[in-house]
Amino acid sequence: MNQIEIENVSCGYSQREVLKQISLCIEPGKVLVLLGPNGSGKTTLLRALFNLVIINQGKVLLEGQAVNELSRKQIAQKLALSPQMEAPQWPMTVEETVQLGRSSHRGWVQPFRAEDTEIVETALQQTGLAELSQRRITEISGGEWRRTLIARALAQQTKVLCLDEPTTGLDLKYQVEILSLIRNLAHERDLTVILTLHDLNLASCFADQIVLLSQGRIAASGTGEEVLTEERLSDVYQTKVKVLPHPEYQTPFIVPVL
Amino acid sequence: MQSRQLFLIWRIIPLAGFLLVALLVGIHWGAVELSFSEIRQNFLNPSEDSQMSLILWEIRLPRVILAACVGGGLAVAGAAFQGVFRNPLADPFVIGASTGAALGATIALLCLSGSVSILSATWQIPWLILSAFIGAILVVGVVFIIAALSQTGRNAPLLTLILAGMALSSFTGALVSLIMFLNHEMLATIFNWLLGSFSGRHWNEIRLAVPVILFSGGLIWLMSRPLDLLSFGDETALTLGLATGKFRVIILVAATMCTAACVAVSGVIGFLGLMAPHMTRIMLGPRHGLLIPGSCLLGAGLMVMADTLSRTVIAPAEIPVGIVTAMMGCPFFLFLLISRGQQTK
Repeated sequence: MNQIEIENVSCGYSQREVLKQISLCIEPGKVLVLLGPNGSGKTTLLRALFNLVIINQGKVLLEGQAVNELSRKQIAQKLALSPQMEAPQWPMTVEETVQLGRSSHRGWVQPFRAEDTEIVETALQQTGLAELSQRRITEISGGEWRRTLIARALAQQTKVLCLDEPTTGLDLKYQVEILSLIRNLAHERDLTVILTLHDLNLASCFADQIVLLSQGRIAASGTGEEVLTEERLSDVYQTKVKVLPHPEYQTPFIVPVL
Repeated sequence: MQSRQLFLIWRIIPLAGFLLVALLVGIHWGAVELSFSEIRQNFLNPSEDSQMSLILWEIRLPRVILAACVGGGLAVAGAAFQGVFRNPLADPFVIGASTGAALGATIALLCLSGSVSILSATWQIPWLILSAFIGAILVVGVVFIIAALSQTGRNAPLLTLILAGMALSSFTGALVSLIMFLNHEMLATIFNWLLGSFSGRHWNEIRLAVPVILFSGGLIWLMSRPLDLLSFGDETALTLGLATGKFRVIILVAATMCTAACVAVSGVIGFLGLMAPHMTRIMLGPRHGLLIPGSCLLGAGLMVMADTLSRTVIAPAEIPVGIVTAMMGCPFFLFLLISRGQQTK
């Protein structure tokens, strides 16, 4: 059974339909990257998986079950999201923030256990935050905050990990580290990872599958070589690009032509 | 991490100590001063003939206990409102629960005014509490609906909420004034009630209000983790597994119930619900599991202190305690506004 199946879904917000007739199957153990220009529906597609948008038509299935028939808690045990933006209200510590990722496993009253502490510590280490765990989230940098959000999603220990622009605001070291970590988790633990990216070259290096969205529809889906062609990218992004062979890997390397 | 949590629990002890000292001072001070040895003696061996025993058991004890419960209740309700609305400036007063309760209580006082002595007859107090509760929940409900209707983006419209709360507070305040204006003979009773006071309160009020305050306060404490999750915003709370709508309603109803019970027995006492959670947050951090019991202890201690001041500063006359808390609270509120402004710069 596929982990996630999106069957002919049209969805969006009360005034506006963003995605139109999207169909997609996502297999376990793969990194799927959603690409597309601003407003093409990448985030909306992620939100549809969490039943956070109005689905007008079609079905989103998680492990064979329709997402709108699952409780919030059941969804949180299957899917974790590291959002693009989040404005916390009170200055919790990094560790406290990551710990809340365990909520769906513990109910609303039950205290966290030693097992949760271990999982939280592992997530903090994996994202390079162990040193900062007692820092207030109002006192850390934008990149550190982004890693905190990723750590919280990792602490949920779900089979599917969704990351909305996880590398935005991170310096080069952490861009590579986070994406490598995510890819390793996907391959070793059979996790399904869905992420949105703006950097076409990072996508081309790290993705097992790329879905290119354009105006709410899937323009192309497949491996990097299949999707990232000069003609298609120039068309979707409405700017001229050149696709070269990557100097190190067998992946396409995209440069804009000014 | 376990040891850190223990360390945090230890930090709550000074707050408990503060409350204990406030209670003792509150029992000690007054028109007749009770020495600590007299307090101990009469506490352990109450006798019906001794005047000291009577003062202790019938005047001071019910008064400080009620003040502590109302202070704790308002502080917990304030923490809950701030958490659920993700707004550091929210308190029971700003959102309109207090004035809603005041309107309900005023109407009840008016309807019961045929009876000889208002507030002294036991059977009237349940009606007063019920009426205050209904008033509070109606006003908070309307404020909440307005905020929900005006929600345009993904974030809760904090400004709309404050504005709607302010507007409805003014509106219900005006209704209360209108009732007072049209009923001259009730003016003093209603006005005295509105200013907030623990004067002349007995075990009856405690028996009626305290179970409601304890129940709703306890319920809010149980909602600590949902409150923590809500502080990250609705969408994150949803993806972390919280059915936000349901929990928001539970917390709002509990906080409104708590506020209504407090207002019904003591009148409108402002600023404490705002002040205590913020002071506690500075001391214990923002996690609601500690914040709520901490706020409760601090709010209780502060209220007992304010009440003691209110009846000793110009003794034998009393200042309504609402005036004391507002005078203590206003400078703090302004400090908060200024420091928030500095932060955003």
